[in-house]
Amino acid sequence: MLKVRDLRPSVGNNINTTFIILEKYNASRSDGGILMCIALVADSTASVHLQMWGAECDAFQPSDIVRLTNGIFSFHKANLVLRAGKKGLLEKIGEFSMVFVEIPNMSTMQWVQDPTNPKGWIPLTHSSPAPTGPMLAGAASSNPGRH
Amino acid sequence: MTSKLLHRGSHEAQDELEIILSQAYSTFQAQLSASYLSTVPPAQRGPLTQALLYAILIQPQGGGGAGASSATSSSATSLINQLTTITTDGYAAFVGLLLRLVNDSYAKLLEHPRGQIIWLLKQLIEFYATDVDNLCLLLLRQIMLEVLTTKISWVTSNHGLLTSAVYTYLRLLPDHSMAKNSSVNELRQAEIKFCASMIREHFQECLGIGRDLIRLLQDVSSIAEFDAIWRDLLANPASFRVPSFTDIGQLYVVKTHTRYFQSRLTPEMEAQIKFMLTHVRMGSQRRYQGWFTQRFLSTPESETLVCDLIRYVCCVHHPSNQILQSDILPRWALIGWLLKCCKSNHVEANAKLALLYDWLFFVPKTDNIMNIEPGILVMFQSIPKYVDMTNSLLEFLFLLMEHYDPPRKELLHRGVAASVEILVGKGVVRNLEPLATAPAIALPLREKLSQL
Repeated sequence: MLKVRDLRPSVGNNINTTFIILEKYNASRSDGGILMCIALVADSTASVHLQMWGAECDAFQPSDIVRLTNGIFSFHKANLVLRAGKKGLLEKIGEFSMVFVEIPNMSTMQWVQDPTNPKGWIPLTHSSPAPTGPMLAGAASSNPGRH
Repeated sequence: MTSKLLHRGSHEAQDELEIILSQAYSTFQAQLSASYLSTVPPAQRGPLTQALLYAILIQPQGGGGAGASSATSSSATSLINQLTTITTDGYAAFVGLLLRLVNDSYAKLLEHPRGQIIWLLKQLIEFYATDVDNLCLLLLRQIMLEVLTTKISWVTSNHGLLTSAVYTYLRLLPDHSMAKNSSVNELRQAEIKFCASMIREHFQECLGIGRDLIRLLQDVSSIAEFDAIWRDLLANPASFRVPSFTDIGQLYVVKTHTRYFQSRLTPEMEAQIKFMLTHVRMGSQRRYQGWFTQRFLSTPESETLVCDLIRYVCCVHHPSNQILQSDILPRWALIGWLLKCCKSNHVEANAKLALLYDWLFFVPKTDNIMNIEPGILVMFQSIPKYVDMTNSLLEFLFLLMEHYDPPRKELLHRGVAASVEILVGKGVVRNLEPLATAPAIALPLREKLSQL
């Protein structure tokens, strides 16, 4: 079971993690007309933005404890989000009784390319070396709007 | 004519509502066996709804006769489908009729219509019908009361059940009188009668409830039967025929068992409160409090739950030393939040009483310091940021000491003095200095403090 703090942007769909939903933001329609919404979710190590599609949007509410299987943590239009994707599954397994922290937020923090791994990204923390390679601006400028 | 809905005594007139329903049924009977109802003029909707209710209640299980085509079937299911087609008010009128029937005549309902009502309830819940939650609650109360009154000898021999029932009814009766649905009068009268008779005839057992019995009896003192009990408790204790009981003061010193406080919380509420006080760190409780409020405290009627929650937190949930020394959310902080949830003055006063109740009667030998610890800490920790809270609680405490039971003022003073003594003695607070010297606390209160 991956901790939210250990999420790394990747194209693979192998994310298995459990979290609690803190807040849901307003839903919108994607280009294809499908309902989409973002939620702030967290576990005891960090928070992240969860992107939900279609029926998922109404199925989950704040305080729900959710298990994600075979999920993806990657970019969707400049937003770094966690989602189930086509092969993944979101399931409610409980309510309320889970400890969480809201900082750091894996979706809004800055990332730098891993010097040892061209395809890898590592979070930019105070103790990280100054970036010399490409850096992701993170989603700091694309906070999902709270209407 | 034999009634198909209600038991009827040999000299008893037919029930008014039953007449209305059965007459409507006769009028529309032919139409009901059609598979659909042609467009119904508004004037007919009312009587047709009544007819449908009657038809469903008397409908035998298994629906229409074998081989009946859907066009002529009058099974309960097709009847309710017909109801759906003519309903334009979210089933409000239909549920209204049911509420009246259950309220006025539940005890007299025959076996079969009773079963149909439960079936109807489930259907109406599926439809999200208006007021269906009230119907559900009403049925629960009727069923509970009926079980208790028809099996009364079993109840009275089962002391735990008897005292729990008395505690529960006393606790709920004030809520019921606040309910907007005032048609629950008959049921309420029956509950009052049951409760009062249990207290009078089984007083020895009820004494076992302890001091919170007094607290609950006060909230129903405006009800005639309980007013009479009060007067006897104060002026004529012998009328309860328990030789050892001579003064109400004897009840004050009996601690109420935690199981009563626990009975007022659903398992889910309890789990969430426990989680907050065991795992959530101080400062991180905001979201949990929001979710809890949304779930359990969002309706005006639910406000009184705050008092039950405060009694629970003070008397049932006692954190371990390990938790006390950690940065986990302390009980006083949770209680501060609960006190702020009160919207009406009446509930707020009851909530403060719930917090300070054990202070008034503290007996070092039998009472637990953990019951009074949250009270002093709310007062201390609210200085200076929320000093209004401290002022309000101190003021209320002194008011209680003087006016809660004037003839027994001495007893209450001793209780509070004993509370302060043990709180300081065991180091919960070093002394009362912070309270006695804070300029933000009203001078008269500080002066009274120094006399403690």
